[in-house]
Amino acid sequence: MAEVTIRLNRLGLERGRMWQALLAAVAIALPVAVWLGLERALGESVQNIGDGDTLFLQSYPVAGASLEYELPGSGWTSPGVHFADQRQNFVLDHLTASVEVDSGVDSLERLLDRRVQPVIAQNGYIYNNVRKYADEASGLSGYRADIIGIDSAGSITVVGNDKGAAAILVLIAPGADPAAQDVDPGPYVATFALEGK
Amino acid sequence: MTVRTERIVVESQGAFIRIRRPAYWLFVACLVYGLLELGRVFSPDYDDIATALWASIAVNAVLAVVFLQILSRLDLFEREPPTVRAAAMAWGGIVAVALSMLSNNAALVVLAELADAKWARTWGPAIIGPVNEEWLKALGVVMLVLIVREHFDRSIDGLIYGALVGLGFQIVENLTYAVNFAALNPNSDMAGALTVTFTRVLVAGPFSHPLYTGAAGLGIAFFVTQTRRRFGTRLGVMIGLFALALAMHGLWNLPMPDAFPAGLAIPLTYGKGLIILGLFFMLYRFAARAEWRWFVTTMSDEDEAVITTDDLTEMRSLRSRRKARKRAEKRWGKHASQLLRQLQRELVNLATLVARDQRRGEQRPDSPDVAAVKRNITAIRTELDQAKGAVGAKRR
Repeated sequence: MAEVTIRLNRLGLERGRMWQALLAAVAIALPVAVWLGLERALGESVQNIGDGDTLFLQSYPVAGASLEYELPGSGWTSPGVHFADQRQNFVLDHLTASVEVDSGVDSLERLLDRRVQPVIAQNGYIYNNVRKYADEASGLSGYRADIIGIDSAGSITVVGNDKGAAAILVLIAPGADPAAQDVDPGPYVATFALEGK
Repeated sequence: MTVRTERIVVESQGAFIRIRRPAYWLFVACLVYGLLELGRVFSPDYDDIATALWASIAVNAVLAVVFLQILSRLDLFEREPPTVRAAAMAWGGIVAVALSMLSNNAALVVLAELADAKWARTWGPAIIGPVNEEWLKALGVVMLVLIVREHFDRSIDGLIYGALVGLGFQIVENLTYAVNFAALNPNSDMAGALTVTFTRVLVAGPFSHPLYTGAAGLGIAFFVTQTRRRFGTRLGVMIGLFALALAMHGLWNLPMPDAFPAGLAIPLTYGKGLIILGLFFMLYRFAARAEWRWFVTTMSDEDEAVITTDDLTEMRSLRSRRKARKRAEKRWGKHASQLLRQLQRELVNLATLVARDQRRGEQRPDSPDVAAVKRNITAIRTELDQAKGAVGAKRR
């Protein structure tokens, strides 16, 4: 068999090959460094929501349902870039709101349970007091539950149009009362125009 | 019944672990980083979606087995070492996916900031996806060249390793989609995960990452193996094939214009896929032809007792080999056909080993593994002659 002699450097690695690995490391890091660098250079964007602006969401991956809605009051902002068609997050001072639309929903109660899981998993909240909920102004009905954390509380409300389309609203504000006016879904759901199935 | 053959494996031959190569440690570091990054993606939802994720893993495993079978058949004259094949898939599935997720997410935000979110969402996948993902996957082939250069003998090796990197990428990317869609589905994790898994496997399965990275890998291997050609030619081919990989990926990710009726979506998708598949097979034909020329050159010094002129012709492609076996079955029966299959396999083994020794500039006598394969060939030929003789005697 053939024998090959290799020379080692102080690290015990083949001499003369270090530059290849360094060049490869730079090439591997290049896309991450370029895009993350540009992202940071451009800064975090914030979308200002005008008073009385009508907002629009569409379900994904099946575009079977859509939701038009307004946010009560003024001064709402939406942090980050709004990529998802089906969900948008908003902030007003310390109040956070998340609105989502889904299509092909079999059970609103199960949907509430599925959508509340990421909320409680990420923030250490619990949820309880699941009860029926109806809004006369929009004609939508469904379920509402309380969300309780150490220093904040809120609500999750899931309403549907009986054809399979559903809208989800999560409100969380500082405090200990999940029945506080800040996290009452009423003024939000009243503006909901839910279409589709 | 076939002939019992012997196999001598020289220790560490085909091994991927090269602790003296700096690039090997870079590979390991990237793998560790990729695992941590993917763990971050999968672990938060794991408890909730474990069943759905495992169901998706099962479907993707079938896809992997099918692709591995196809790739092993495309590799006409060599079986790449399993450890290096696994390393290629690990790079694609772990390192390239993890780094692509980071880069793609950041790049989408940049595009949205520069244009708007809707534009970024529509055109981002066709621009960012190919650029980031093809770059990172192609670097997987480059890493293999830096670590196990001896396994890149001819251009087709790059095509095979590139396709393996792409296959690893495709499978893990499918799993990330399954995790996301499991959470998105309003009714059940399983429905969300399996719907997207089957859609991706059936629609994108045949036209996806293995083809793009196969093209890019072919260019890289052409650059490193065709050293007798001009540097400019090699560089041009490598850059050209990388550009082709970008174009294939970009074409697949291209959004359907809003003006097109929804009914056209499926024919258009498959139309794009067939163009990509056609381009890939054109490249493969070029590489396979070069493979056969290499085989003839490598085996030209071998004795007539080892390989005949007819063997050389019959070994040209999988089709010509199958035809030869069918002819043998017709004339001398199934046993002769089985022996011929065994002989063809041994000739492939021999070519690989002889080429290795030729590269090393070794003079005869044959190295132990070469000698063992030649003994196998002699034994198979003897058995084959007896089988032919027995049939001939029966006919008389």
